[in-house]
Amino acid sequence: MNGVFFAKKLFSKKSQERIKKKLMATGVKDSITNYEFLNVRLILVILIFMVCLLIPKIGFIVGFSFAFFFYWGMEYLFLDFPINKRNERLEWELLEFLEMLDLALVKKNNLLEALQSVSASLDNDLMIILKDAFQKYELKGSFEDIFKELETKIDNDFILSVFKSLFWNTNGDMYHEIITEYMDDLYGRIVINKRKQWNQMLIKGIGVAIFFSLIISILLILAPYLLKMVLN
Amino acid sequence: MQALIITQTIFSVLLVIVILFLMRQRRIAKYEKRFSYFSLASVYTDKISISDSFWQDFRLLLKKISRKLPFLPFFEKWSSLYENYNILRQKEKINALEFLILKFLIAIYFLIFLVLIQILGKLNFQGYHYLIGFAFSFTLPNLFLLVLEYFWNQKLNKQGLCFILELNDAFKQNDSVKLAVANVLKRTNNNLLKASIEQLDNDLAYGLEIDKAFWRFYLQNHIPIFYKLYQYMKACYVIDGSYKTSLYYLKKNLFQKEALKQEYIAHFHFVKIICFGLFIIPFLLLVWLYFSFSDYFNIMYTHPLGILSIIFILLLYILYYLLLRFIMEDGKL
Repeated sequence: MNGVFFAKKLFSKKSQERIKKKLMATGVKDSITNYEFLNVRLILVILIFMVCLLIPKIGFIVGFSFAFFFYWGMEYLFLDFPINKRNERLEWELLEFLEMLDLALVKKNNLLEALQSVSASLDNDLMIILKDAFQKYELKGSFEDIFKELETKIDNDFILSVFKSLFWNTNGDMYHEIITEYMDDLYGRIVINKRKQWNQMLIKGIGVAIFFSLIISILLILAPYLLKMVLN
Repeated sequence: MQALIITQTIFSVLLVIVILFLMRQRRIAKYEKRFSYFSLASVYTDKISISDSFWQDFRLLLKKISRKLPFLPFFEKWSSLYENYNILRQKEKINALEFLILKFLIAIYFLIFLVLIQILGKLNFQGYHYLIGFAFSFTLPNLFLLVLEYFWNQKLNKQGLCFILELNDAFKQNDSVKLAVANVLKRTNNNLLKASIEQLDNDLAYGLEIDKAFWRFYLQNHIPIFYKLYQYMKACYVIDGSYKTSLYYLKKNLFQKEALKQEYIAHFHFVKIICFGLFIIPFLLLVWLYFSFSDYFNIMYTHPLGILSIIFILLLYILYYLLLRFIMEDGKL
């Protein structure tokens, strides 16, 4: 409780909300709260800074840079990176979901019934989110409430837009057309994203390899010479 | 010296026996070919080969040991670690418990081999030498298993895709799962999946539900394609949809993924080659400098600061490897 109070007082509401949103989007349920994440990050940053201060002369600069990278890197490694990975997985799952929904809507023309039967038949992350939303608003809620629930747990605009167009469609005969169109778009989107990633992988991989091989080679050549100079 | 001469004579005698045996076999084959024109059937048609008979006897031995093993529940629990391997789940191959026994047998044979070397070579082995030898020979089959499993899964993946294609074709004639599976079973000849398809056909014939039958099919062959097949069949069964369309979607989905995977592999190998080239450049530089100026690196392993810098370079190498791995894993399908 004290930890929660500490983080609530120290960090701005905007950053608290941002971390909360990101934690929800990673699919982590109740294992860690945004306050716990912020507190742990702050304590680790202070610890790193203090350890780096032990280095003579350059300790302050090293500590400051390490702390800054850790502060930025922890959010990327533990929140942004898993969110991106989950979004990729959700897109493949959405493709399966749309296929099954198309099949279900052939026999049942009621969207709610079709959605419920499909979410019961498939077992993946997206279906768990849908099932939770249905359980929450089964009796009193509408599609709007279900969509709001989905918005808190999915951080992908495309997936949300698919659900939006399904939920707000008033013409029952248009479902097949909408679904097939979205399936084509989704596959195109997955391919484009993957190609973009692979191009980045190419540039990043070669960049890292050149950088490290250069640094290691220079160190190997110069280290004995520099050591001799320092000892003399 | 005497021991060496004895071993050499034993091996040379063995070699001569093998050569004589092979010559005899060659002569038999020659006669068989000559007489085959005048006889109804060739002479040794029903006889199995030496390697097959050896393998059969060895499997029998493994089975006998596995039946009479003391502390059987303990070993069964231990062998359950290997039950996830597809290759150990096949009927004609050895199972997980037999594999564990095989590991023990190999380790014991290796120990006997070490003792023989010690006696013949007059070497002085300590206790820890035997311990290391035992540990090495006990874990070596795991490595073989991993390699075999990799190739087995590759084969299974290819044949799994073919199975789905055939199932899709069979569904075009009729929307009944049972008929489609029976149709596919008729067409399959020498296939890794034949036993599993037979079981699937039997399950469906005895009235098992479709999703459960396909789950049992997946349990026999643990590959992602069959999990997907199970999911689609289950979904179709629950929503009461058309299997034909479902299989069509699955086929489309799998082939799209396969195409993307191939593209990824092409990108991945390109980066891998370049990174590997750049990874070994510092090593080559080190070797060249060491042979050109051998005294240049003396200070690196005599002074504590030099050792520290070596550790720093090694850490840089580890960081380099980890970063590359992270970048490569990011684009994986």
